[in-house]
Amino acid sequence: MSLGISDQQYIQYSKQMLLADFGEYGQQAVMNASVVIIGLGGLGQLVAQYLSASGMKQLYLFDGDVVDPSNLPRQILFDHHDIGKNKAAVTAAKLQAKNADGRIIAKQVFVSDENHQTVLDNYKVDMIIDCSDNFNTRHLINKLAIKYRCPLVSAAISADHGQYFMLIPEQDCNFVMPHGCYHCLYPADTYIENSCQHTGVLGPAVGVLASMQALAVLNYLSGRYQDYGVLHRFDAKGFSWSKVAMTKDEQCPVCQNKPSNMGEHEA
Amino acid sequence: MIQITINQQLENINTNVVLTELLDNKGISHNSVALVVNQRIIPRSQWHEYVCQPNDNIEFFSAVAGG
Repeated sequence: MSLGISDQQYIQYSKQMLLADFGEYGQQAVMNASVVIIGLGGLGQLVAQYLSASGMKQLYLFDGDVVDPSNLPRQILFDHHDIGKNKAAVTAAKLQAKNADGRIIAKQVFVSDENHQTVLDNYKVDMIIDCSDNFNTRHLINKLAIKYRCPLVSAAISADHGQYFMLIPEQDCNFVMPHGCYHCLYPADTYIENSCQHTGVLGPAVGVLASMQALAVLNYLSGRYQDYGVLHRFDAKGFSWSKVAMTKDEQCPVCQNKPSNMGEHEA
Repeated sequence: MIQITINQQLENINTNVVLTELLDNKGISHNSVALVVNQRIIPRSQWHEYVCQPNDNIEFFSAVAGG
């Protein structure tokens, strides 16, 4: 036993700790971490599985949606017995049964301005993971991450086009973000025509983006992550990635405001 | 005329063209895309100020929100 890690845990998580710059420090960090996952669809149910299996202390799962038969090819935690049941509740029950080390709390609601405070105001949350499926929720999550100074790991996919980024809302002496936020990238009046419902998507393509999110969380918690404020774009058909710097918009009403102006949601 | 790359295609455009004009010339709605110049996102509020330079590598792409 070392650093609060039991002999059994040492064996169970040994492959993670064998990474030289992850080690016992990284494992301890994961086992002390609490994260919020918003959306338990294609992205979220995979991210939750990876993080729960890694030994994470607490996962807060937000989703008001229920399992539908059309979800099953890509939301592989679910099966036919889960149809009609709440996704957050099913995910929490299944992962809690597999991983006794962590605590998994289901919030069976769509995250909103009204209910996010039940978690973010009352508990220490280390990261927010955006696995949602619509533009307005993504803007709300971006705003919450900045308001609460909480690192944000975000991914989205539609058809063969995936996008991933991580923001770290630490602020400089002028109380502004060091890089652009989601609103700087896509202002609130941006027109979105692509969604999984209308354009389709392949399960493994969603899995690539979910794996990136889970990997980013583990790397961040263990001090291995450096790629903040970089938008990664994935072409699932061409098997290629590209990345660009997320420049901040000096006129952004979300991340360029002083902290006292960040409470209202405009999206 | 100057030569630039737009979404991996070489194109010749007039000098002193700003990004908003570039999109207008292609019939692309300003609120439907993000713009990258030389691997950096240019926020929409700056599109009317950025003058395209010779050999600029410009990309535009749509937002995706599915999950």
